[in-house]
Amino acid sequence: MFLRDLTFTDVDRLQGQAIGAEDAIQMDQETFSSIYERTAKPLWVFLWRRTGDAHLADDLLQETYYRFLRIRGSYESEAHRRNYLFRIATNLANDNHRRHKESVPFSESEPHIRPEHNDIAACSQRRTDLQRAMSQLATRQRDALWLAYVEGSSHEEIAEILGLKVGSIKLLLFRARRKVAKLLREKES
Amino acid sequence: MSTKFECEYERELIEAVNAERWPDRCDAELRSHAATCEVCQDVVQVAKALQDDADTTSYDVRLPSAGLVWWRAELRARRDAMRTAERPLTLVHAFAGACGVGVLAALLTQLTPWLRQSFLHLTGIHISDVAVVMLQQPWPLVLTVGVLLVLAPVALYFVFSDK
Repeated sequence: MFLRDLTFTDVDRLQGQAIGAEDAIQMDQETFSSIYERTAKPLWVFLWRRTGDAHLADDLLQETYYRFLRIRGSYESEAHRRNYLFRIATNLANDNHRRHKESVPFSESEPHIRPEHNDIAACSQRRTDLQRAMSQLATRQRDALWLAYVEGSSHEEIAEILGLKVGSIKLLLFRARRKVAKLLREKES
Repeated sequence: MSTKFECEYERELIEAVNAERWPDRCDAELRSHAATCEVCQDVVQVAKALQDDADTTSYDVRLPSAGLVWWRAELRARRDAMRTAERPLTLVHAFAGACGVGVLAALLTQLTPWLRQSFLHLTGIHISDVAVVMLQQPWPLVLTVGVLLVLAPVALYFVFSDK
């Protein structure tokens, strides 16, 4: 087809195809739903703990999946994909923190207490103690502790998510863990 | 004595805590080791506190459905694609606008003597009279120019910004 033979509809169609190839979402909806069901909750909790704001965590979660969907990535395993999502989320939380500059504590919002929990007062107290202890740490240390002990990530995975060297993770975790454990023990005694 | 940063039982211990097997439903060997290992004691203390906190938080989380997140992402991708496609067009518009302003300025320069003559002829005011009034009370003019200088960049920002 010569250029002079093109109709406006053809131009629109070709332009649409060009845009689609460059900017389209790189996954089908069914695959996405399956990934989302497995990863959304831990990601949201991580973002909420990072930002201390449920609405902001909602926004960052949406942005995380948007970026994830736009990237034509090949993932070696389920864990690799999950790490990638956490890495996007961490970068977004860092960007947000840099933009707003305010110091975000581990979380200041009212804790949700599970109704079946035997001792609501004790549970609430433990959460408050943890929040205070975690607030003593740098953001990077908090992230490392969360990824290691809640998400069960290995040192290599934590290094990949936080963009650090594997060798530095051991010491980072050790210092953060020792500090939090000491503060928690002091509260208990 | 060198400080021990990690322990070989650490991973096993984290798995036991996260699976809620610690302390009653895990190996006696692991329990007896943890009782004497400083690293493992810290790991249990911190992992248990964090895991409890995560469980309690997760309990009440209301997330948007996967379909909604997908739909929003698709909408956003289309909008971004449109913006990418329109970017060269915006540049052409800006260039055309700049050309228009240039032509208008040239026209005004050419027409100014004629306009001035016509204005003075119609009103009967001498140009030096206007100048004297402006020099005596310059504030309205200064204020107008100031407001224009402030508003012009703001207007340009809103015209050309993405948001």
